[in-house]
Amino acid sequence: MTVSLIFKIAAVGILVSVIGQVLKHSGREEHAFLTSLAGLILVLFWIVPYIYDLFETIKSLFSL
Amino acid sequence: MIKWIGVGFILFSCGGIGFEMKNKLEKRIEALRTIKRIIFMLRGEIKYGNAPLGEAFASIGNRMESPYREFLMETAKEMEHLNGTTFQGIWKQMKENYLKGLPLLKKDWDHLLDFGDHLGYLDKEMQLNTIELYLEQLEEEILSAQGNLKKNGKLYQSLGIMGGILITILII
Repeated sequence: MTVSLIFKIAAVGILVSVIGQVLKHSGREEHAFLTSLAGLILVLFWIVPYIYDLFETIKSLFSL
Repeated sequence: MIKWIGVGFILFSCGGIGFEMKNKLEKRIEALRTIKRIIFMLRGEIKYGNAPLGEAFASIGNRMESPYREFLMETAKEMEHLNGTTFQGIWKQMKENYLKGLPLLKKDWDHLLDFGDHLGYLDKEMQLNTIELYLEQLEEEILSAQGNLKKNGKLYQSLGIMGGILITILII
C-alpha cells in the first residue's frame, strides 16, 4: 500500500463528484448516478486486494 | 518525461473530443441556416421572378459557396438534360454527390428529401406552400438545435477535459 494509491483515490473521488455535479446541473441525473457508481467500483477494485490481505493477516495472527 | 508527454496527449485528445462534439452541434446549426437562406431565395425567385425551378436553382447557385453552389448548379444542369429522370431522383442523386459531408442528422436529411419529393408538384401556389412548410420545419429545427447547443455545448467541453484527467489519473 503506497501513498500514491491514497492520492489516486482522493483524485478519483474529487473528479467523480465534480463530474456528478456537472451532470446533475445539466439534468442528467441518471448519468451522474452511473458515474458515481463507476467511481465507487473502480476504487473498490483497487482496495479489495488490501482488504483481503488484511483479513488473511488477522487470520494468521490469531491462528483462526 | 515521456510519461508527461503522454499525459499531455491524453488530455489534448480527450479535450479535443469534447470540443469536436460541441463544434458539430454548431456546424449543424450553420448548415441548417444556410439551407434556410437557400429556400428563402428559392421562394423569392418563384414568387417574384416567376422563374422555373431549373433557372431558380442556377441563379441561387451563383450566389452560394461550396458545396451548395455545386449542388444547385448540377441540379439545374441535370434538369435541363430531360433524360427521363424525375426531379426527385435528380434531387436525391445530387444530395448524395455534393451534400453528403454536411453535419446534418438523419431527420434533417429526411426533411430535405421530402422537400425535394414535393417540390415541382402542381402549380406556383403549391410550390410556395411547400416552401413555406419546409421553412417552418427548418425554423423549428434551428430553435431546437440552438437550445440543445446551449444545454450541451459546455457540458461536452467540460466532460471531455475531465474525462481526460480521469484517464490520466488511472494510468499514472
